[in-house]
Amino acid sequence: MKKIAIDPITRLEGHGKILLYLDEKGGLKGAVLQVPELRGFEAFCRGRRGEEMPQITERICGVCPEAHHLASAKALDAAYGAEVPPAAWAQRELFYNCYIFSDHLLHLVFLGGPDLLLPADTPKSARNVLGVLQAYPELGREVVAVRARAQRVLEIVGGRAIHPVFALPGGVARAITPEEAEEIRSHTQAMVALAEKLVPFFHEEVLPDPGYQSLLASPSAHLPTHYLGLVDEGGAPHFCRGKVRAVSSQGAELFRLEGAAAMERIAERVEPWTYVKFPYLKGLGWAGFAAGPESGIYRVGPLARLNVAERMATPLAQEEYERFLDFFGEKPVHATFAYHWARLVEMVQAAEAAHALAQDKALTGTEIRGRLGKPGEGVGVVEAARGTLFHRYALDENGLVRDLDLIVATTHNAAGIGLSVKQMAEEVVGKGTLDEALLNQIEMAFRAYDPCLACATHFLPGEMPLVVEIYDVEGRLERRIAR
Amino acid sequence: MAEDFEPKVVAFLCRWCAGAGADLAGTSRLRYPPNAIPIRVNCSGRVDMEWVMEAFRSGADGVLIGGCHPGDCHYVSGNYKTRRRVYLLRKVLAEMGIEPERVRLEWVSATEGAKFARVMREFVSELKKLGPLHLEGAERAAEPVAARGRS
Amino acid sequence: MRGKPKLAVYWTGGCGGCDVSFLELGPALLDVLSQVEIVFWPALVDTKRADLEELPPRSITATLVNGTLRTEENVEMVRLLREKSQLVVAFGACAHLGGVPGLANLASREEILRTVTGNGFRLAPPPGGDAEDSPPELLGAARPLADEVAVDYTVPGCPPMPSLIGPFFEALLSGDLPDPGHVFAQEQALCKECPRTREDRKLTKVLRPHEALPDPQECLLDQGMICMGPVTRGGCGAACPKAGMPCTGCVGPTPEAGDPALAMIAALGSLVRAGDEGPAAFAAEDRVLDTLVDPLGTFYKYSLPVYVRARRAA
Ligand code: SF4
Ligand code: SF4
Ligand code: SF4
Ligand code: FES
Repeated sequence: MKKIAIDPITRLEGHGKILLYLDEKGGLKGAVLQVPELRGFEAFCRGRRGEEMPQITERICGVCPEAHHLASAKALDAAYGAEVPPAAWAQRELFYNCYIFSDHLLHLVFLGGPDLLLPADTPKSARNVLGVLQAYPELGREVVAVRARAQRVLEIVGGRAIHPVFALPGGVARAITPEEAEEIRSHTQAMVALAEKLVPFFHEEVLPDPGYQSLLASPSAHLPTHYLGLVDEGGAPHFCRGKVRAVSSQGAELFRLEGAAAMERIAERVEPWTYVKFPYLKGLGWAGFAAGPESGIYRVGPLARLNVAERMATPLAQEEYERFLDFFGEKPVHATFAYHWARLVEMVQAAEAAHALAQDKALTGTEIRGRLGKPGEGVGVVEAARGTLFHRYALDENGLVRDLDLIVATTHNAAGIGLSVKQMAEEVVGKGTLDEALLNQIEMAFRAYDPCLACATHFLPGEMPLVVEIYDVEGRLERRIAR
Repeated sequence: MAEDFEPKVVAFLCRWCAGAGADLAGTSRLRYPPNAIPIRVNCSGRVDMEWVMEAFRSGADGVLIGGCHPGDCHYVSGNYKTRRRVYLLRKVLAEMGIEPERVRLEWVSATEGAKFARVMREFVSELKKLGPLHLEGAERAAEPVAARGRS
Repeated sequence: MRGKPKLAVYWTGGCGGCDVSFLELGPALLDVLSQVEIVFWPALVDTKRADLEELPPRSITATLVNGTLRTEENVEMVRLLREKSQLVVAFGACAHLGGVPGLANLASREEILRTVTGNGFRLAPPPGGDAEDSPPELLGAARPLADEVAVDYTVPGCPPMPSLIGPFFEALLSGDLPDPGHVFAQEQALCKECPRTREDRKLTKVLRPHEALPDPQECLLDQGMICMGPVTRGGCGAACPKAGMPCTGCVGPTPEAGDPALAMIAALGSLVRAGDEGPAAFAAEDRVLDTLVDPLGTFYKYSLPVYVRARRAA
């Protein structure tokens, strides 16, 4: 038997390695994505001050600290029974849209993007941000500059660009001054301008590329799961407020609920051979590692949000959304590599929404703290760039954390990512000699999700399984690969 | 084990009061356990909590801080500051898994030789009940932080 | 120095924020990137461990390590990187002081595993794999980088902000490096650079940040909030106090303060009051001090593994 290790897997957030086991004939016997990390947040958050949680849990992940920060604050709002005033929400939402924008740009240029923006035969030494900057010097520099502007907004509102400090139970730390609001508007304007450029760029440079076209069409990257995401009252994706909507792999609404009630609909499967838990929809139950209408496995993140939405919240995003739906001609869209395109649609909405919020009078409002009740229990839910994020805390009478529970984006996607990597590994191994470019294709399958292994492993060591059980038409287990 | 365990005590004693009280206890030939290593300070307010921790890391099982009675401190409020510091330190020790009773603060005047002797007897017997303080990683901690890791 | 300096960046048990913090340099990042050759950086380039193993010893000019040491694999990797590098830099609070994940040292490894996975937890290789394929063992405790390898410089912060990263790169690229052991931050306390007005007022209450909206100009500590400014190195520009929140000490303690908890205890011992001092106020003073909840988690948020090494054996 032969073993191939891709160690470490690169251009994603967190630690991981892929192990492929091949038989004598070079066929794939098994594939494992191993995440060799554990930090124990679950254990050491107990006993900490509730109001510190936005600043502690954000250290789970430095790529999406904003998501943990706000999910945590929302859980605290609920735990203290607080009404958050509009001015505080204006700050939080502006901040949050800038984060989504900035994080998606990060993926585009630094993490997953190089796979799409550079030809497949690019040597690995150039398949990175520097390669992108060489291929697209002007746009690349602009992306870096505008991302810095979005980060500057995060810094103004959040106090710090990475690991912000502003959200508190019931509100935010301080009011935004009119001068700051003016500066913010200049940045959000630049964000919109960049979004306007990225759309034609995508349609001219990325989408027509035969490599990307074949990935979008590839059966190895087609995964008909259910989808989960937040929507506002009008059915448009909302990144940090609204209700959690789930739609089935066939597009039917499964539920549309407040965060706490939605969390109740999710169960976590524990498998004896791994330390990662697998969330699934309780109503459908666990049907093994398989996609499809009967399985409870669902996906989250940009593609999922576009699949649960009925429309986008802003005009330019809506136009691009329509192009997206026309291209695929079906909804839900199950093509895994459509995650990249979905990210673009969201980036446009985030820029437009941020700019609108920056012009809203509420932003400089001074009533920024709601009244707090006695500490108790609460759930907070937001859409992290990578998908739905739940925080649930139980506070004691002193407001110290007694118990907590987090379901992070990459964990929701664990089963989906496992399935996608497995699909791709099978295709790639079938092609014969496993050169570096082919192995990168396996990595691309999960980079499409922009996974965050730091989030997924805030407390879990061990392996994300890449199990595929292949059933024959009668539903009998035909083949169980690997684990 | 409590039988033959002789706790090591470091005693930080204010020279104006508790230190003099200890001397008096000595010259009066009062009987008290000889477990303490006395260290004179100008005022209990000068006792750095770092010294207390250093004493534990260096093998002490208990630390006694002796200061002037309320109202008698030569620096007016050194003893009050120390009282508040010790109160906080004990909370922190408890969270670290170290019994807070291992730090003891007592007001002892220069004339209270007998009180000093009684305090020592009580403290030593209490420490005997608690048993030795065995700190894991104490040697490593004793190294100055700045020096660690230099090539 | 001939050719471009070769740079490696590696993460151990961290959050990735330190990697992302480079991007906060914004356009200046591109200048830095154009002046170095990146030989290894899992977050951004595709070099693998095997490529790293083939490099000759000391062939990397500088390796920046972020993250706390948490697993045996972390230790193997930083030793490997030490061997291949001329300089090793502890980058960020996790590598410098153990960081937020260092709070895990409040519990034993066994307790952590129990909370996380339930009883009967055992590491195993994946089916079909060899023993060497099982996930790495956790270390008994989270540890700072300097516990395992010699550290030449420290760029502190959680994550280090551009104002601290910038000077480091200037020094590295110009070759004009300070003495080994240098920490790229101020020796003076954060209060020196904090715009809030400080009067060393007496504290009659401890206020938690969600309990009151502080005055925008006055020192937060004077207003009763536990701000670590007096014992923390300057260098971040007092980001948190400017944002209306107390400093939690991410840049690490000043050389003068040493142990940040003990230094804060000294400061609070001086400041707390409940009326006139004296026996009549003792009980009331204690009640004020009791409102300071979770002191260990507050004072050692980023530095527990360095300062609380001596733990009572279980
Ligand atoms: S120092 Fe802070 S930003 Fe850096 S890895 Fe640790 S937690 Fe993340
Ligand atoms: S707010 Fe904090 S940093 Fe600023 S002066 Fe007061 S104690 Fe120092
Ligand atoms: S104010 Fe304190 S916690 Fe905030 S960034 Fe500066 S050193 Fe870090
Ligand atoms: S002089 Fe004795 S305690 Fe201050």
